[in-house]
Amino acid sequence: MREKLRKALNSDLFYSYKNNKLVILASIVLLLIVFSSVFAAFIAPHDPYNLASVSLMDSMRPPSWMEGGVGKFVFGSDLQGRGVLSTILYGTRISIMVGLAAVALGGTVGVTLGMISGYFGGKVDSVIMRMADVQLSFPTTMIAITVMAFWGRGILKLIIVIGLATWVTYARTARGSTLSLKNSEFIEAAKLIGVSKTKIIMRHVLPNILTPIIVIATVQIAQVIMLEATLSFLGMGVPLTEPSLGLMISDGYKRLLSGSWWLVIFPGAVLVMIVLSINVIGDWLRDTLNPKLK
Amino acid sequence: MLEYIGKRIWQTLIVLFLVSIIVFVMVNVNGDPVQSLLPPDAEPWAVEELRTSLGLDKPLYVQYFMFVKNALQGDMGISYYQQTPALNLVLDRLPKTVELALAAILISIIIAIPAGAYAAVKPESPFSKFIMFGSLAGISLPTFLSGILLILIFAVTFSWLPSSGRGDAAQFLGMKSSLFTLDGWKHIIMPAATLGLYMVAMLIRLVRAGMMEVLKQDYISFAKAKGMPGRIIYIRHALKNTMIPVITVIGLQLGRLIGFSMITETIFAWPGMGKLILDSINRLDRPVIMSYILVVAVIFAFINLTVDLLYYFFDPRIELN
Repeated sequence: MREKLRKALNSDLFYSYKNNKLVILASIVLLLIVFSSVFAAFIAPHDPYNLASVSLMDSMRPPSWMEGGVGKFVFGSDLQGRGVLSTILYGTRISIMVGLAAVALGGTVGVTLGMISGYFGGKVDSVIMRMADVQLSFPTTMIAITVMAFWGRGILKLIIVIGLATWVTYARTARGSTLSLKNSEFIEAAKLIGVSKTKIIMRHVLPNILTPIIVIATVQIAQVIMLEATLSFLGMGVPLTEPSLGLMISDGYKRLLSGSWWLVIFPGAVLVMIVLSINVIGDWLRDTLNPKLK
Repeated sequence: MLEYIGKRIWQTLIVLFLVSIIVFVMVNVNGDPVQSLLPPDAEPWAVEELRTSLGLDKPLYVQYFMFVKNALQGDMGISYYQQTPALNLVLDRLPKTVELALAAILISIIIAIPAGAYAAVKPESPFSKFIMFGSLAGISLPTFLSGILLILIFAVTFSWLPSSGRGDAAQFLGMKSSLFTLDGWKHIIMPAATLGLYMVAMLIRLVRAGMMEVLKQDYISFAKAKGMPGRIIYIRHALKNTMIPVITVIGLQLGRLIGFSMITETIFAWPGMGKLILDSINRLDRPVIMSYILVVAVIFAFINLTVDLLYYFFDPRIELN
């Protein structure tokens, strides 16, 4: 255990991390946001979806440091009297959950199909890659909007639609890496001693193509969180009964001309901070782990 | 060459065929338009009559063949909501969306190419670092949020620019566009900047990466050794040679911008086809939705085909297979 820790601290990756102030800052910001949203129930001033703690008397309060603001609502409150800070904390939890789940789904489907495509080649390969071509001829956002529009709101639906709308990126990378690996000697050796195809793919191909996949998945988490917020903003994502950054911004947008800027600025800032920190970390991972991708 | 063009066109047709099936199935398994067209207490015979007149009583595959046969003749059905041919509705809005996309591309080229080139030539300068961080921030800002922020700053706080709609249009060289009037520019600048932001960020990275690659080449060192002034080396020799991938990406992004215009048009109430489609989705107006998706599919297929062919034209070293 101690040996492992010492090795990790001496690695190139950690050395490069130590010397990159922006990445350190990004990871601290990200950790803070993730931590406070996971423990939202303990940190949030009140539960915005518990009717007992919400009062219409508190509707549309500006942030606490402004005239008319109260200490209970640091970032102000919305029309229903829900505190903006509390709703952000609960909403971020859903955003992060949807982000991780959709990336896990899209990544699993994409990497599996990509490895199959690259390893077996032939007809299987052309069918899978044709499917990818068809999907790539439309932007992911447009596919997700259209499907969600027909299917209706829902968190599970969001995860499925976003996950399946993003499999192509992983599949292409996995296929490319598998192709370049397929004829290497250790795979030949495994074949010769009679290791089954499934086992070769899972035990020998997968671990060796993981680096570029991890880089893509990191950046994809940010993309997916943005997509979730966009869909919720358009009224096609998280249902109205659940907290969501996109829904909050959509609410604020409707009252924009009345000057209640806090309904947009705070959830927007949190959304951008999440996405930006993930992108900074993703960029750094790409440059450090895989200089060829640069 | 001819064989390649033929093959690509054939592939494009297959893609369009698949898209038409997917769209048809998706539109038809969800929601019953009859329910949204008639009041809830409508008589059963009225429901039946409407169903027959819309052709909804026939089996699904018959409906699909009718749909394809009519679509090939430019007939995508009548909009349930507006009672006019659906395809015309979409095509009427198309120029406004293209206008917005072109303005977005123009803005992003003006900003991104000099910024990207500068960041490549002087990678260590603080301004370059600022540019690169700015491009990362641009990629991290969702379209809907940047649009709202622009409205909040320029329309709500300072009241400099109108927050919605399309301004006066003027006729020029036989084209009617709001790009030819000052009022038109006032209306288009915010939506176009919103739509183009992602592209600015992406182009900066692309130009910088391409330019850094070129600057390592021998002919650049040679030009430097010869004593050629920096400006000429960078602009005439380096930048010019990074333009091929940049042009390709701009071409491909035109399609993406048309797709993304849904969000921008909704925020700025821009009367293009993106706003039309979101409104139609909410009204379950099937003919309009199908027309939109097929029009966009055709545009995308055409753009992809053109870019592929242009690519070969610019760089004949590319293998055709």
